[in-house]
Amino acid sequence: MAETPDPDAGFAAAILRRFAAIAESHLLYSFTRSWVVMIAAVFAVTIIAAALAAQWIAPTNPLDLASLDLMDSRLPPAWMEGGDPRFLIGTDDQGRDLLSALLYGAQMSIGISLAAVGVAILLGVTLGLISGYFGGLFDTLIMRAADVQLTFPAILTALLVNGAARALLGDQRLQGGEFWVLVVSIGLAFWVQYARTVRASTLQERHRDYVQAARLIGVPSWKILTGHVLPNVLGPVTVIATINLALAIITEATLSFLGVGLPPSHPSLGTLVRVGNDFLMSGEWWIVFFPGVVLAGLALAVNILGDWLREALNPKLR
Amino acid sequence: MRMRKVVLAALLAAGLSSVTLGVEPAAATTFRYAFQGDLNSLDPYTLNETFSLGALANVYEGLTRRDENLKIVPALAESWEIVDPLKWRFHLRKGVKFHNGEDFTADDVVFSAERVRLPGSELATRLPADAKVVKVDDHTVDFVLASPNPILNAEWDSWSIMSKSWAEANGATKPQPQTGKELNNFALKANGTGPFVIVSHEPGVKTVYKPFAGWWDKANKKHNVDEVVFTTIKSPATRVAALLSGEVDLIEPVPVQDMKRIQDNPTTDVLTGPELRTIHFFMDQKRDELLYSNVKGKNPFKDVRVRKAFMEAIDIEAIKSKVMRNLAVPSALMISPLLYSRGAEFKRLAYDPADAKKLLAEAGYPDGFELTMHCPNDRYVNDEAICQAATSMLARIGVKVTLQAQPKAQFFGRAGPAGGYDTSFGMLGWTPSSFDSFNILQNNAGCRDEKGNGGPFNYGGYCNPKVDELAKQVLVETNAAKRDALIYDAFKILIDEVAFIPLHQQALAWGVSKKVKIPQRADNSIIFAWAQKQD
Repeated sequence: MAETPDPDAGFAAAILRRFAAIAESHLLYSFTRSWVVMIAAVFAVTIIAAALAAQWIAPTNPLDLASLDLMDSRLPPAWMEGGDPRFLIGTDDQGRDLLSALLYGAQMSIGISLAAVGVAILLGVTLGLISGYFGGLFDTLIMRAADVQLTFPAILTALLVNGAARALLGDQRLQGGEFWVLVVSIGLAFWVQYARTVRASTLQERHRDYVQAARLIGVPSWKILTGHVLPNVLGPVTVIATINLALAIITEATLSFLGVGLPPSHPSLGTLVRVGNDFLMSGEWWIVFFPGVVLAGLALAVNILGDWLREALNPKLR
Repeated sequence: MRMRKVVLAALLAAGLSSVTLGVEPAAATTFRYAFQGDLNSLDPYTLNETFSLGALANVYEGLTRRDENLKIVPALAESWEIVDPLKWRFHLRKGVKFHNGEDFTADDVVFSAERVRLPGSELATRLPADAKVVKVDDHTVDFVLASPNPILNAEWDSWSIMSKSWAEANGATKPQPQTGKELNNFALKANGTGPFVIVSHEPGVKTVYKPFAGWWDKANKKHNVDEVVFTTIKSPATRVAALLSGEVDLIEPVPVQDMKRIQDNPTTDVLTGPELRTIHFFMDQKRDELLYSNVKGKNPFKDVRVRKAFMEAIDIEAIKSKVMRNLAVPSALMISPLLYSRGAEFKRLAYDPADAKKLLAEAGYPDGFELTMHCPNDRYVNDEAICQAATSMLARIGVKVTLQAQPKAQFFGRAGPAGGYDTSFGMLGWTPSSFDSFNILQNNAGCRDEKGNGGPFNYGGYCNPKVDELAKQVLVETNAAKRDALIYDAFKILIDEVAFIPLHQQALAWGVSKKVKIPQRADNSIIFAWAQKQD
């Protein structure tokens, strides 16, 4: 796909052209050939669409504490004995409608994950481009830092950053800022892969004739990087981003499950599972079951999509 | 079953001619128990909290102790007499040894009396600040008081006596404060006279105890265990799973939702009883401006109407039936009715959100205000869930509460005396360790300064000189009926002024393996010396 680099292509134009190419490419063809991928896509799109529309489709607003009634707590799903038609999949221990909490929670989780992947891409791609293009001491420093970080599991890095942010800001100042702390801590945990991939591609592109030509006629480095190199190294980045999205969703859930994520009054998939976990032994299965299914299903679906994208975009695997 | 295992082990040992197999003592009995929160500092003066004090009461002893029915009986003091109302003489037990082999003498009592009243100690009220402790001889100590105090030794069962020379050798002459910061080295060690020795201690993870062979009280050694292992298991579901699988022998507290399951399980049982602890909400009435609120320039809690509105907003019956699954007794008072003869005469302010809204409007907050609430999340039964329920109940009268639930070490370190009462509104549970109302009037309702001198556990800083005056009279009154009347008057003021929002007495619930026999004392102490375990 990126075999015929166009030296005059702007960043946006390159992206547009790429999307146009997708329509008649191998991508769409391979998509229609695998029913697993199609199911995953339908599942992911449904969940994401429902989550984004939570404000309009959720029966209640779980963030409005005044609407909760403790007497409604721990009601089973509507179809079971003792269920209440107002609460389709039951309520949690505070009388919160689980369906609404789930929709808002999924929205929160997806929002955090998307933003975190954005942070990771921004950081990783920038550092990768610079170190691949200029090399030298900066390159060595960045890549050694990346090596060190790779020895830690992502969740550990995220916990570390999260803990440091909490210690620095203090509980009180953190209030309301938990969202951004999560975004940054998850983002910082995932930048390495982007940096490495982009650096490797940049090293190749740097010696291509079009880059050399641009340099010869005096195009400034930043322009070469953003205008010429960047569009040609983005292919692998999209693949990593998709797979990372699934990982970011799980990382957010893990952090919230451990109680260092969002406060309990703000549902996310992780906090919902944490609340439900307390009732795992007592027969009130729905509190943990539905958030768990959505979490697992979403992560799996996004992962399958990422895998498919990787295979479809890799000419060697065709 | 056991026989077969032994035979098998012997066969294996013989067959493999290995030295490692079969050498494990066949009958090592280990009693394992798990609690939802941490045992942090081993300094017995760090934290005035029933759980920590109870865990350390197996290692340290006081001059007195309480028997199974909570009656005061002699321990390190063999006997005592009141020479005159201002002078108590204690005759110390001879032949008592500390775990490091030193003899217990009067010097240790004098040292402990000083240390317990130093800054950093949460147990300073165990002894009147102006009492002098005088060594008469090696085994006699006089307590010289500035004013009469008929219940001087009522809380001495939890005033641990420490060894003077050990403390000096380990740099432990000053208490480890409960600030939530790092522990001093000495706070990871213990050297008491009690029936058990701490072999290893990892704060927040695991503590291992072994019996102390040199314990003086042979008659009270009713246990058959060779080792006690305490672990913290924070998650309720994990704690239940650990009990059901036999990984631990006792868990506390039992999550109320899992009680039936533990009862139905053939190898486990639930021990329940009324507990003496009163769970309540405190409100900062001391500062001129709340630390954590959007109301600036004044303190809404100084207005009794606001306090009353808060109390009326709490639907205690819903908390009882839904959060506590009926395992709690709503309380009008800050003391269990079991501990005060006239407790039943008081009625709780009824749940009335409409009136609460009206009161708030009258007080000048028609749209409510914002506030942060601090709660522990691993101390009391369903503590976080109760606070969460309260936030939504308060939301209905327009008060927007942000809940911050923390592990107890951080919570007590911030909201308690060590943290300078860094809170505006929150939850605390209190068991009067003397099992008497005076303890409440002093600790929870007594006027205090910023450092906690006066009523150290008066987190909200409520202050009414009339209550303090009544408390003084209660302390010296010896006629039971008159004393109860004075207490009645004091409690009446506290209720009329809504000094606190009492919630309930939670039920005591231990999940216990059927292999274990252990008496459950109403103060919720786990006493190893009485633990029996069969294999």
